[in-house]
Amino acid sequence: MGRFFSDPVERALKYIYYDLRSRRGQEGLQLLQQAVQEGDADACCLLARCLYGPEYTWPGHNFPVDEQMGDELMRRSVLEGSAIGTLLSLRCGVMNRKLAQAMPLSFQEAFDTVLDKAEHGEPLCQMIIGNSYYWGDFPEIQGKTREDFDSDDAVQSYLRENYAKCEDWLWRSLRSGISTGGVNLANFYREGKAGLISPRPEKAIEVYRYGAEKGYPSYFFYYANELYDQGNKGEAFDFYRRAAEAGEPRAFFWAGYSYELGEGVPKDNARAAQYYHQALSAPIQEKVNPANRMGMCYYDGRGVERDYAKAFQLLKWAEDHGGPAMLYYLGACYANGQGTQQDYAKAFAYLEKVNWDCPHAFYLLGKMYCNGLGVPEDIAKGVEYLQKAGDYVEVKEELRHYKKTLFGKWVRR
Amino acid sequence: MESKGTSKKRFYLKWPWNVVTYIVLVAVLRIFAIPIILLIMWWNKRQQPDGPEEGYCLQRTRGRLTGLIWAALFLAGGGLAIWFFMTAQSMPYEAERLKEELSFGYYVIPVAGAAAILVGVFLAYRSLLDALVPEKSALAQSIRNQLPYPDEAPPVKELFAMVDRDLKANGLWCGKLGVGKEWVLGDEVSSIPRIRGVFSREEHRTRRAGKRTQAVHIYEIWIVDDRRERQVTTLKSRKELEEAMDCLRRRAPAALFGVYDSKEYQDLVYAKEEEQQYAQERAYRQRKTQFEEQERKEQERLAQNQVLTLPDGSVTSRITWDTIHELLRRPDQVGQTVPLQLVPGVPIQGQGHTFSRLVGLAGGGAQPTRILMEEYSGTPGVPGQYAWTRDMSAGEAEEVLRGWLRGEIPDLKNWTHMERSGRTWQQVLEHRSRGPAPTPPQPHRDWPWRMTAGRDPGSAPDFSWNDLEKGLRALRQEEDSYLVLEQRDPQNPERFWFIQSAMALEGPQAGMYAVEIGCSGPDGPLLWERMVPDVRDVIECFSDAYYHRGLDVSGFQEI
Repeated sequence: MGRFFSDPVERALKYIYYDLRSRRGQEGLQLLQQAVQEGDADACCLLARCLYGPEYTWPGHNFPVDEQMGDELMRRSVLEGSAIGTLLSLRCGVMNRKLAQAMPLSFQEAFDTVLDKAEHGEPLCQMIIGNSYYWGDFPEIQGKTREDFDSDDAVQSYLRENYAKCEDWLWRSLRSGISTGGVNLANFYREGKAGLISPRPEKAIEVYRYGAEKGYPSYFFYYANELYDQGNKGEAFDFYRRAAEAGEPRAFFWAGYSYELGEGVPKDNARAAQYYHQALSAPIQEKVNPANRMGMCYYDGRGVERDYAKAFQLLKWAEDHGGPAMLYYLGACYANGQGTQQDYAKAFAYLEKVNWDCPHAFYLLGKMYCNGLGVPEDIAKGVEYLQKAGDYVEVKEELRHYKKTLFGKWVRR
Repeated sequence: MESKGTSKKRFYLKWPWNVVTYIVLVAVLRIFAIPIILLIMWWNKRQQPDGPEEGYCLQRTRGRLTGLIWAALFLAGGGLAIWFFMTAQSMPYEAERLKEELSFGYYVIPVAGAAAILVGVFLAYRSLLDALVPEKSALAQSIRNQLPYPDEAPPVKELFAMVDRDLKANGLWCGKLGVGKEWVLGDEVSSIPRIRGVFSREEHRTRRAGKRTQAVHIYEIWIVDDRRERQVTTLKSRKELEEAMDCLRRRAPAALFGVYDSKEYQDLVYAKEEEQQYAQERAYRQRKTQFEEQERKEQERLAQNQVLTLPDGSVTSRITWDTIHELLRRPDQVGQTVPLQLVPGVPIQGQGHTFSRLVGLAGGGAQPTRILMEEYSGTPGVPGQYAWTRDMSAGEAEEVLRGWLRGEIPDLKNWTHMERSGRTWQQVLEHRSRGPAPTPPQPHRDWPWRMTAGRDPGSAPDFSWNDLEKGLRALRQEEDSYLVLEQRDPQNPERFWFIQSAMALEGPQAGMYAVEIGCSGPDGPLLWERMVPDVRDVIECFSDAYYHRGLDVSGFQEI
């Protein structure tokens, strides 16, 4: 038996929460599953958290998501008398009157048990206590209602006092090694509590810096975001890379981007493409940017072997999922029949929106106007685009087909 | 009514009538004939948009007749000098005076005159020889010199045809310099594989004669071949010279490029030592290999013109024979049929149809593989209405797929013609599948339109629907009254689609309108016809085609 939980649960906690760099999350999940089979109530709620999605643990673990199973496990944990399960159930929507009546522990009993462990230094319990204050679960735990207070001021004072307690507990959890605890701490600093506690965003950055100094992968990422927003891109990219190297999936795109730009590191297209690929396979929401960059890599054959089908698939997917349309690349795919069926009308729809100096797009537009492909033929306009396209061979060859008459009209030779 | 394929040839002044006309014009109008001759030359050129019918080489040799002008000038000058000398001799007093004034120069006059006459005779002889006896022309000799065994060269007709074919198919023109893929035609001919150096010469010389300053500009392109022989072509302007250098850079990238009389030029042309020549040739081979490798990579990139959808739903354009082989044999490993799909970027034409998709259900060695090739609907992204399917062995399927990747369609003889029925396919009824091309295809959405009206030869790219409708309403029961609305593939002008109409001149349907739809097919042009009584029906057909509203092709019969 461990100091606070069963041995398998304590080992699982280490792998899942405290030692992310060891990349043994899957091992931790298996330990929890075994413990659940052996009837460990604490393991039930911890396994439930793993199944609720990456935001409850860490995206780098790549745990499967099964909310229904998570709810079942959470109920079981409550009914079998897990103190952490009872408190955690308040945060995941499974707690209802029926469950509350059937649970063996009251909220206060559960809170006291967890508090005891927290005070003795158990990081997860410190985080749970901190979150109970942060999320405002304390009135329900303590069974307080409006009638227990003489005035609104008393209510305000009670709330302010208890909300503020989250700060200490979440700091303690963060210092004890549970990085997840710092997320709500930073949120607390950034947002404050409306009407009760003022925001202190500068303290949020301190949290991220502290996490990054401790080497928590997700804090490299959070801290890099802050640096990037402050305009310190060089240092931000450095932290993104460190996060990606430590396995933080949200940083894969940025690490890849820094290698593609050669920002702070030698340019390495192969490595950039590798990171984009990792970002696309990772359990994260933000995929349109890596999809667009990877699409461009496939189109240009940068860092990967050229593959127009893959390029078009990724670029179109990104556009269809709300990402910015890569106008030149999509236009070129349609115009040349690369990775999709040739469709000049669609190609034109993309290319005509190109409003920056893009010689290749101008070349395609020029060719389309001159030959009436996807647009009514307009040689003068086509030649204008071709002249804007620059001085490369294809442009010269296309321009050779047209001449200006004595009356200044452009015609086909 | 004539079909598009056999439409009237454009009239132009053929050899030697053009020369006769020019001579007559000069005889009658003298100097005022020049603008008219230039106008006729321009019109003749315009009437032959696909290049001179006689061929570029023959045109070039016949063009040497202009040398007769120089010959005439020399002869006239020489004759004048001798006449002057003879006249002076007949007047002793005048002869004495001239002897005194000109001293030795007096005796040079008849010699110079005789020399000018000789030069004139030579020039006339060369011009006439070039123009009238192409076998002995300088151009023919220059082509022979470029062949590996000049003594065994074929007849001049074949020599010229060889160069003409290349220039017609691949020619890039920079003034009078034509650059094909195999040959360069200028004042002389060069074989591109033999070119080792291309040098531009641009010189400007000024000469002062009294108060006048005369400027002479020289624009020449010097091509040096592997035998260090030089072919020189004079061009008109710097622009032509730059364009010519660009063209040659593209067609002979491994050759040395530079400026005439530069060190590179001297080194290449005057390399006497065998060792030096060997080093130059080795450097050329290395550059050529590098360019060929670049070209191979580019071709590989361009070859990625299809999208293969694999059984797991992933897609790729990197399709190799091994991929195809492995997919077709995979059922032997997994124990079930394996689906695959190939979609070309540009629909494939073959066997009288255009195809936009191939779907396969690989059966491995145990079961037959089913292949279905879907016909192109005419609009990208819109599913086709018809398809052809057949069950075959894995080996045969591999052949079909390899052909498909090369853009080839197999013989559809034993294939079943299918028609779309909702989400599935059903066999086309017998009476509808009487031939390989039962109905004419729809016009292509992306190809530009051109209109040609019978009485107004020459096609017009800039026209509106109103022009077209007006043209249709103006159709009369006359031989040269017809209207053609035509499309050509901008990437490949051999591929076309058109709709045309005219009134039947005679027979039982005289006075009715014939509407014909034609398109390019693998074995030549295809043509369908439908007779309609009213011009409004004709207008409707043209309108549906012009606006891509789905032309009703049900009443058209293949002819």
